Amino acid sequence: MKKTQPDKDINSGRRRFLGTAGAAFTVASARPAWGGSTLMDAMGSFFQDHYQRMSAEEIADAIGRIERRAQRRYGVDITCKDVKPQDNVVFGYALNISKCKGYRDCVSACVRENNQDRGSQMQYIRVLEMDSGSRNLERSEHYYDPETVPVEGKYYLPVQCMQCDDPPCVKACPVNATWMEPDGVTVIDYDWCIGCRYCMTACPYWARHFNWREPEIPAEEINPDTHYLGNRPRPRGVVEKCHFCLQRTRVGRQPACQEACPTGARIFGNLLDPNSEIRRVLATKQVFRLKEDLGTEPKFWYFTD
Amino acid sequence: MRQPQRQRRSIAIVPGVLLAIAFALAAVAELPEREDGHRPLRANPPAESPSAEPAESFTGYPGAPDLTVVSRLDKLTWHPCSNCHSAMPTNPERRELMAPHQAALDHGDGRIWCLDCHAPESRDQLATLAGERVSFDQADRVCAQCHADVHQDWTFGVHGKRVGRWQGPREIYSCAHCHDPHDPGLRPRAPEPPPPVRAGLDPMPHHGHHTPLYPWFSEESAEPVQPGQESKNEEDAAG
Repeated sequence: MKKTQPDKDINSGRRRFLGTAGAAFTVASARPAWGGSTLMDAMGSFFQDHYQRMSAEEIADAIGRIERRAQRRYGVDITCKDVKPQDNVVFGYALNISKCKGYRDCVSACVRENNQDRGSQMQYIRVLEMDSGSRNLERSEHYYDPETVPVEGKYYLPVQCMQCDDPPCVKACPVNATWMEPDGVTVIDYDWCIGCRYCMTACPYWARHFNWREPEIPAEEINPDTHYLGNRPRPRGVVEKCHFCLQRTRVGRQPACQEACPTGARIFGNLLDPNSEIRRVLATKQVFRLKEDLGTEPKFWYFTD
Repeated sequence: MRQPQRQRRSIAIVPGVLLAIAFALAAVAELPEREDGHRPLRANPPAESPSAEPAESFTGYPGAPDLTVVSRLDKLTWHPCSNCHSAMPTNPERRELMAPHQAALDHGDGRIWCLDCHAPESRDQLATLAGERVSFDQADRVCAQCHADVHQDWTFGVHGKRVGRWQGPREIYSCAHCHDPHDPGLRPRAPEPPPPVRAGLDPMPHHGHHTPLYPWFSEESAEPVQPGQESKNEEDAAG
């Protein structure tokens, strides 16, 4: 912007006013208000735009607010990143149901990795205990708790977000708070979500979950490595779901569920790389997808040995 | 009207059956008879004499992506085995071993024993049937001799587990990371806890997936259930 030399009298009056206002603003912003956040942060959050419309500086400001809020809420220093999707990468998942034994190690690893509320049913992965020889989801049981698994006559079918290529949840959202990223992962802007839960009814895989209460996480269990569209601490009243551990996978690491699985049933990779393991699975194994007839084109395949 | 038609059809079948029998007889008659009454074997090529060349060794599957096996040598309790075995003569007799080795080998239904996989003269190595000596970190070469299809899946990343990163150099676990070669089956174990349920509610009843739309009609008993006799869970779900 071009600088102009304004009239001296007006300028001094304005300077005096700005000085007073600035002092008041400094006092207000230094003292905790509005739920413990500074006026600056409260205003910033109020006027924060949609993730896809924000400039790099605005996102950096928002990330600063997220980190300060986490410090206030949990007393933990987290780092929130905004790693962008890689070129020529579309994530896909394959799960070997002959290998899955129903240990639920993936579930607990996911809860820890993604800073999910302990105590509520906020779990992205639901391991269904199914009758052998049947694919009837209505007769599945996910509260199973025997002494040891696997149980004779049962098999286990973990269900999480299928990262559909034609996601019905995205179509249902009235405020565009959820969308599919270029690497094929459907994400949520937790600050834009209004909590209407239309997406939850649109999802045929029970993959979306609602924060009925402020997530409670012990400070020592907070995962400080977070992503803006991933596992950053969420407020009450927003929907969340599996995001293929964006904080890990966008920098080349395996998702937490794959890392935790002791049987090697989970295979994660880039669908666009013809030499990837997942492409080998799709080429050589009998694969199926859940509720394929709905036409949602999940990027999550199940297979058997 | 119907009677003559059926007769005509049965008359038409008779020549066909006769023709088939005639063909079968002709086919039998063509076979040359041997003194013992058996038909001759196919002309099999004569078995070749064993080659003096050493057996061709396995060089990998075409098109398989590169891999690095995560080393297990530091996890082996008694490795290097030569610490003890260099001072012991090799006893090639099949027998039950004493501690620290486990007596029974729960693998291969009694068809294999120690020296089928462990090299007799160099105990820090494994042996393949072709006589190669491989390190303990190349145990997959030994396993592959019986479990070829699983080994191929493992090489391409369909079986087994990739460690750390999906991108970049591929690091995978070896067979023995998950399967104890002396007892390869995986034991059942306790699962992690089920999802918590909100206070005051029972979990959804097992296989009682829906609260019945018409509580007086029960599919399972076929006996009508009186209104007001629904189970506690249904009341909870309704409340």
